[in-house]
Amino acid sequence: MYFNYILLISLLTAVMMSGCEQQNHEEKQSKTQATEARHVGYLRLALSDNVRTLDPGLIYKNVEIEVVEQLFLGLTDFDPKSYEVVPELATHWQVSSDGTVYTYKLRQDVKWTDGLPVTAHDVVWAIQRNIAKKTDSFYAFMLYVIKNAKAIHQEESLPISSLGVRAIDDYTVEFTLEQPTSYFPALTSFWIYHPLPRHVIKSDGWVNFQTNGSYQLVEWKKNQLLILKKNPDYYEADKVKIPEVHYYIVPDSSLGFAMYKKNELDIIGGQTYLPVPQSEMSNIKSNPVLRKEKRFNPQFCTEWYGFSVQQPPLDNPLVRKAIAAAIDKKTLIDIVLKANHLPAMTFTQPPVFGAVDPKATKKVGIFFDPIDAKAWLAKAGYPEGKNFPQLFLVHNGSEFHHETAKTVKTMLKHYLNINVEIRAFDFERYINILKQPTTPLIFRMVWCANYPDAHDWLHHVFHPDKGINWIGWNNREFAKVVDKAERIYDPVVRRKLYRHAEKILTEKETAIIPLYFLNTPFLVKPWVKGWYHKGFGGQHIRHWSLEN
Amino acid sequence: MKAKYWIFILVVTLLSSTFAWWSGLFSEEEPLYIAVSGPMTGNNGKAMLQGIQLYLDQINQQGGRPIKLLSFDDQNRPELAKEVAIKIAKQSQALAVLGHYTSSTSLAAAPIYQEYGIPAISGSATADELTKDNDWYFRTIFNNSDQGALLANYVRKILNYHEADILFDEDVYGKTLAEAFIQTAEFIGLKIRHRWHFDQANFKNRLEDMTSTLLQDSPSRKNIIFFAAHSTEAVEAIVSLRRQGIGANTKFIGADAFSSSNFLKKFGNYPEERTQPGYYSDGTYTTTPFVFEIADEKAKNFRKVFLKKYQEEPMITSVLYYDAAMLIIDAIKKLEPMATLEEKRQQVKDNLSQLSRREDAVKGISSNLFFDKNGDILKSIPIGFYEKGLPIVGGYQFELLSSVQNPDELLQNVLNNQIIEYNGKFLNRARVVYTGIDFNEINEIHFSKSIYSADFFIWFRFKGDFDDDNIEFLNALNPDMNLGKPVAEQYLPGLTTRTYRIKALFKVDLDFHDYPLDKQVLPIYFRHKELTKDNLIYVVDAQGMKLSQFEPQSLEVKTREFFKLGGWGVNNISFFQNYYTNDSTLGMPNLFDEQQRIEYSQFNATISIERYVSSFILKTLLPVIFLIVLGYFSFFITAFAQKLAIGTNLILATSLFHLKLSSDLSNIGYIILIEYFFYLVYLLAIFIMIVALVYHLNEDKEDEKTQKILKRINLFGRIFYPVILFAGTGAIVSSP
Repeated sequence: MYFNYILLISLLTAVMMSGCEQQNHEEKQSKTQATEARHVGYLRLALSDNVRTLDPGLIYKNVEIEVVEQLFLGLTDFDPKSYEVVPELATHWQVSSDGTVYTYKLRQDVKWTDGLPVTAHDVVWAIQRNIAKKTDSFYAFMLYVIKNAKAIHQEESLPISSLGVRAIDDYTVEFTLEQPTSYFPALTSFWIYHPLPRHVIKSDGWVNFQTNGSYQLVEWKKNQLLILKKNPDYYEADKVKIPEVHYYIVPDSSLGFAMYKKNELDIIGGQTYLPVPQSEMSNIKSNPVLRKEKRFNPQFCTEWYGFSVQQPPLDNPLVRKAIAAAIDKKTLIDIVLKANHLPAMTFTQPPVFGAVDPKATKKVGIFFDPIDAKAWLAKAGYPEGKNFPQLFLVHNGSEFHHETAKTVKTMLKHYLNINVEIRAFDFERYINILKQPTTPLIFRMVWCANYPDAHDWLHHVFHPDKGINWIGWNNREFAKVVDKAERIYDPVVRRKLYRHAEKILTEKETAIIPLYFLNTPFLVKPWVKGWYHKGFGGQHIRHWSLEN
Repeated sequence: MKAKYWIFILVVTLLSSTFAWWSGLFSEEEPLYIAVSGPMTGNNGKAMLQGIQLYLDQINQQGGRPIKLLSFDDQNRPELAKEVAIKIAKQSQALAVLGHYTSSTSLAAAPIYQEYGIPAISGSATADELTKDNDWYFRTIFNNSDQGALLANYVRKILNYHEADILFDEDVYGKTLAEAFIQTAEFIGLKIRHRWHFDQANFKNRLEDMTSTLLQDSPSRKNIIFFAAHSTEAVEAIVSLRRQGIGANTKFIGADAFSSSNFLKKFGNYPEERTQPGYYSDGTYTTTPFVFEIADEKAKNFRKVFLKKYQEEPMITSVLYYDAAMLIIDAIKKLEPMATLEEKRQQVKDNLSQLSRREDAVKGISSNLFFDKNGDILKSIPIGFYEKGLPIVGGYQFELLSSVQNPDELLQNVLNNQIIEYNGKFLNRARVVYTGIDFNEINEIHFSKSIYSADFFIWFRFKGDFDDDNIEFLNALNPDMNLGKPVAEQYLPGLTTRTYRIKALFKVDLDFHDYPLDKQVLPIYFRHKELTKDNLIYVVDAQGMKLSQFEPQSLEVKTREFFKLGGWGVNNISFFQNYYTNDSTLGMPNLFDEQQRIEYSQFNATISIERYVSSFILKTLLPVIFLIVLGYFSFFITAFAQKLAIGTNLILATSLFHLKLSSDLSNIGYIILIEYFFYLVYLLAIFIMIVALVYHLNEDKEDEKTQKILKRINLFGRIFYPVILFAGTGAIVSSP
């Protein structure tokens, strides 16, 4: 899990840096671009990295997830707007009264590309294969909620047959879980749960590449190109409008941008399809054609600052509240980062399940309010910042994070008259410092969610016993609330519980400063209709079309 | 033969007139059409028409294909607006639509314009949805989310409130304004304490709720209420709150509805406000789409032309629709020939979309006109307030930032509330400085040195502090001239006035092309050395200078007193501010790709003077005129020597005047009007001498034929001398 987290942080840093380091390219206005350009009959996308494998059990890179999602079906999927769980391979599912047994009914009209039916046995076989230690599946931890999965994966002490998954019949699969897990239907959308064509996978690998999704692979030139064609046997093939998808491996985002402008690509942006160069944003804003093609999409990552809550004076919630309320997040985003991120007052990013609705009249979260901030600091015993002890603001080394830290330092000095010292460390040292802080620290973090449920934000990151808990927090009330939310299936009650948890975390105790929810720019040609991008990848091209 | 001749003439005439008719029909003179739709029977519709027609008249006067306006009445009714839109799109030849007046009529018509592909520009509809996801709709007025965001910033950062209440109408206008205000407030540390909303049916009840809450809350508390409502309801609410005891500690702020003429008109229904203007309205803040006082010279000229044409003051609506018409015509001018109506409409829309950069902007009256990605105009939103029942320009304005700053400086400015940001726009807090000039004396012009002396009082009235030491008189002879010490200073709470006396020499660009019929402009220009337009805006202090809307009538008597220059009279005095612009990158590589503009607000005072021509002629040219008359007599005398002497004297005398003139007006590289007159006199002298010489060469022969010729030579001289004189003089005077 830690590795996952570290990877996400470094990936995110790399994406941000690559945006910052692009050279300036002069943007000339193209008056005729919009009227003359047309689509070429197939979709052209750029992938920002090489595709290593297309085995759903083994993938972990964004680019791999992107292609696999076009080729393979999951048990469930997410609605791209509401991020609610919707059926895909499973038509419906049931949960036992104690919340530990989930039964999925599968579609009976889904076939592998060689014509064999996709069955519940393929699901069971895939999960058993992926949890096996020798498979070395990166996302195996996503299976840990299944009974005995963790033990099988980590200790190899139990037989694979004891894993809590079985095929009741050809089209019914049953999962038995370790404990009630209300977000389980969300987990089953992940590639690690996808059925695999067991008849073509031998111990030494795939004999033949068979898929079951809306597209099939027709060409794969390593490090160069992948071509996908519509799968005529896909159960809703008549609804798939784009006949062919060409993925080009383009590792340089400025080259990708140039290709987009020359109409050689239909979409760029996000982590998967090459980031739009940060240096071009100003030109895009004033270019009459490009600015109409610009879109923003949430990335389901929350950038936040944590407090070492055990160290005085940060053990005082009033001090934490004062510091958090003195940070003008909108200014940080608009003026310093020059980005389109959304200021965060709470931790879980809307619109995922359990996130606080930012439009709700009754507000929850910590808001920028320098007047209240001053009052809180004075109440904590530091009027006008007098006698406030030395604070350290630490971040993992990058120019980008340093800019944010500098801004926060300036704001704290300006609004509260308190001084902080900024220190940057390489990632390994940084993590060690956070594990055992010896001085009062404010530290930089980002959390990118694995699935769209507040459980993955709140329980996963801040649970005093089961979470990562970088802040060294031991709030039993919070633990009780998120534990309860994990076990209850009723969505209304769960929403209320997460709202309460957010209130404790960000408003009452202010154990962290949520800074912003990441929002990524895209450029999408006007002929790509129905385009959307999911906050954690996995968008389906089968929902899009090309129309001039 | 004769009959054939007449038939031939008839055929030619018929053919040529047929050709003329045919070519007229299909030539470039065929008119182009644009449509306007609004409440044509009301004042607002009239204002729309006036603005548009004024621009079309100016354009049509310039020649080219005439542009005609098709007017449609939607009576401000959405269902009728829809019908009108269909009619315009399907049955008319209109290339574009101007209108509709309200957000609801515009929103009703918008899908039709989008469906049929006809571009539209509104100068008055502010609802955000109008332009979002509709490439065919544009506007020359700001939208509600910008207004709401600016007002929240103004409340927090200029008026220094920590909390605010909101009353909003549940219609599109009120809701979008309130949403923008609340959203912005959340990010900038402005708390919303109470919010009330109403529709037409429950307005009275909600107003009662609001009043009782506020009364319970402590009515003397320092408070501000944002009204996201139309003027009718807002005025009723304000009057009701005040009458029920909500005191002056509670201020009100509203959006553009508060700056409409209807707002003050509604207040006029209450006797308290009629007796004592400002009784209810004073201290109310408002955004406004346009303010003449802080606009540039173009707006001043617009007003002048408008007044002349319509004999009434222009409404703001006329300004915004004048600009809208200007944009449409600009887009039409760029049309390619030989396109179908559908293609032309598409092209007009594309041409409007191209106006995406400050550098490409069309220079309108209300601002430089260019659009954001939705088709909303990118410009600053002026803020004003009411004082004694009159709208006044707010002491601080947020001006669209036109140049990029370095990030650290930018951040510090944001923290100090000097710069705000909303919806991707950066705005700088600009101080408004009311400026006036009162002349004491102008008594000297050195024509040879192109300088004049002026003695005047100059004053600045402003809020906060203003660095007036760095004022730079651009045409002062001494470039280091400064204001010196103030002769008077006054500090009222929140308002400072400083007055200086200046007595100095100023450079003037004298234009002698028309000398002695020339008119000269004596200017005084100044701007700040460092503070750009987004920091400082000069406003002509019309009240302080006792100008009636900065017209010079009241100045006439005064000017006679201070202007003491013989031979000249004052034609006009004008005060205005304009913007001095430079699109420089300052050589900084990071700015090469940025939209960069450096603008300074410049205050200008100009005195136009005119030479008294008759006295100039009497004083200067009389001897030459006598000699010209004398020259005519040379054709009546026979002695060659005398004739030659007259011609020579004419040249000598004239060249004397010519030389004197040249020494008086040295350093002029061009030929001035009076010199043409001198050349004419030289020509006349040469004519006299040539005629004399020809006469002299023939006068020895005594034959009859020669005598006849001699007579004719004299006659020739007598006729052609005055012909040359008058034709030449006429040509000189009438030459452009």
